[in-house]
Amino acid sequence: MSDALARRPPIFRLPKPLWKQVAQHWMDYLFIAPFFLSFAVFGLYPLGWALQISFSRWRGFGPMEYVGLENYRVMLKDPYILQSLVNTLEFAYILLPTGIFIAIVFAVILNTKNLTGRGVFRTVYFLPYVTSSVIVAIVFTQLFDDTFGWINLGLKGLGLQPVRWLRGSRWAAKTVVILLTHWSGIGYNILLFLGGLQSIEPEIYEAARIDGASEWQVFWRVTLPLLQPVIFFLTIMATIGLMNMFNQPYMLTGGGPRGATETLMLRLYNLGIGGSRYGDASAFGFMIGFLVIAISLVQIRVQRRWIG
Amino acid sequence: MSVASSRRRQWSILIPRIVSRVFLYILLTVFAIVFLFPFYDMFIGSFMQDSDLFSSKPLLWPQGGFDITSYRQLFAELGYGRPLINTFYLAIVRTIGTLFFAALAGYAFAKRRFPGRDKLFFAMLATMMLPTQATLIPWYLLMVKVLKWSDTYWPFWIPAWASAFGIFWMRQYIAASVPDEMLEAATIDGCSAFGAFVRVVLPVVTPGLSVLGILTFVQSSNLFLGPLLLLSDPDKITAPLALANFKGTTIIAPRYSLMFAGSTLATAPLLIIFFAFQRQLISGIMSGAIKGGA
Repeated sequence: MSDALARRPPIFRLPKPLWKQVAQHWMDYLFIAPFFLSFAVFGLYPLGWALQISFSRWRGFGPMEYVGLENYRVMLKDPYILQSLVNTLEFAYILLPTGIFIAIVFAVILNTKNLTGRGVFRTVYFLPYVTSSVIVAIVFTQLFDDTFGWINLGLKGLGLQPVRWLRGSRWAAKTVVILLTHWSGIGYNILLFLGGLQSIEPEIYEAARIDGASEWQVFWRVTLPLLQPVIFFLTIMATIGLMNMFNQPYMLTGGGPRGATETLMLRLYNLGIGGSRYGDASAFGFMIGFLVIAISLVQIRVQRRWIG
Repeated sequence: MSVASSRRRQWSILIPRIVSRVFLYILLTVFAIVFLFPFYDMFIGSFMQDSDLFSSKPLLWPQGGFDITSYRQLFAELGYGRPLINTFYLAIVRTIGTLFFAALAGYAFAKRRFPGRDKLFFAMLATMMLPTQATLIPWYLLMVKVLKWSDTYWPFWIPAWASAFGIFWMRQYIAASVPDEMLEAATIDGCSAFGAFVRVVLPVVTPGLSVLGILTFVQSSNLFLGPLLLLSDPDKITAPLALANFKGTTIIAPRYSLMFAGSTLATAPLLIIFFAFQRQLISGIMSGAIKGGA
């Protein structure tokens, strides 16, 4: 009887146990393993270690001394930290909207029908993207030099007072950092928006025009809403990038004058690497990290509500 | 009479159109000059003597003729050839590794079926949100104190090879460009998963690989914070770091001609690669926008 059962062809094949399926696909797991291994070693492990260090007093040698939340308390009371946070947020909320606005304007212009030389302009605007920010900063230092620079020559030519850009007022230095960041990154934004514009079906425009919409109305009612996915994608990516801003202020001003361009990353670098205050710096790193994640989550939530 | 009025009507349409075209071109050209001028300034400044660079007015052309002292000084006295070679050595190895692991894992995520595939893919994407700030200090300590990797290039190779962005990029590309039938045919012919990858996937995805390769190469050549933390041996530093050091160590007046010459040499190869591949690169980024955004 058991023989007969065994010989009967199976009608319902039981799903194989998971470990067997996994074993069968060992090669696929091997293909994706390098990422997860390297993430564990170079991402998760440092993260756990940072958590431990952030609760300790440690200067890189000897035993760690557990101090509880002391480092976090010190960091929250540190006036320089607050200033670097304000600076970074200032840079972000000036750079983000202006960067998106300028890029959309130029993408729309470059997307005009029968525009000769479109490819040349597109390439030129993208050139800074392949250039090292260190090199860009060197060139900008000379362009904005107080006595020998082109910018002050131009201002004098217009009958204006020359400005002490990098070592003068706080806002002059901030302006240079902002201009440099735009100069390096706007070409990439333009490309993203051009890609977005070219994915819009021409029929939608035709339908809007047949309904008698003016060019302005077409832009506000058709183009802009259809670009929203790109705008949100860019907002999230650029926010993460701007919270990491380091090279530009490090090279241009070293954070000065009087801390006006010191960003979170620069502060973290000065604390942790310059001052070997590993405990404080780790606590500070965690606080910035949570802030970045929180901002990103809010942005994603807003995006969901907006586009649905 | 009616012909004349219709002609007049034509002109009344044409003239605003021409005016707006001219206005657009002026705008685009001014913007283009803004983008090109710093490159010109860097290039021409590298051939200027200090008397030109620090004259009462900035100059568009070297007054004392083209002067290559800075270039000679860079190589003969400051050993700039070494950082230049280091930069491209670091970048090439980093790029090759990235391409290999990105194609392999991208293929598995795009075309293979295995338990937990989509969850793992999502988990990989989520790791891209992990803020670098939180791990910067322990990453530095891990490299310097645990692995003793300071003044080597391992920190810029091993953690970077299997990059989430690269894998994501290749997954999207392979999913869109490798037909399932080809993979099935290869399996029927007795290819293993890896055999199908080498014989079927790799030949088809070269365009996607080349765009990812150029992006990775450019970004690797321009790395700054990592090398700043870990490289100090003059035989190991990269070009951006060497240039930053020129700026940092000049106590009297910044040696612009020297920095410009070094910058020109470091930028030129990247610009050449960019111009050679700009069409693929630009269309790659533009289509990436649509995929990433939607």
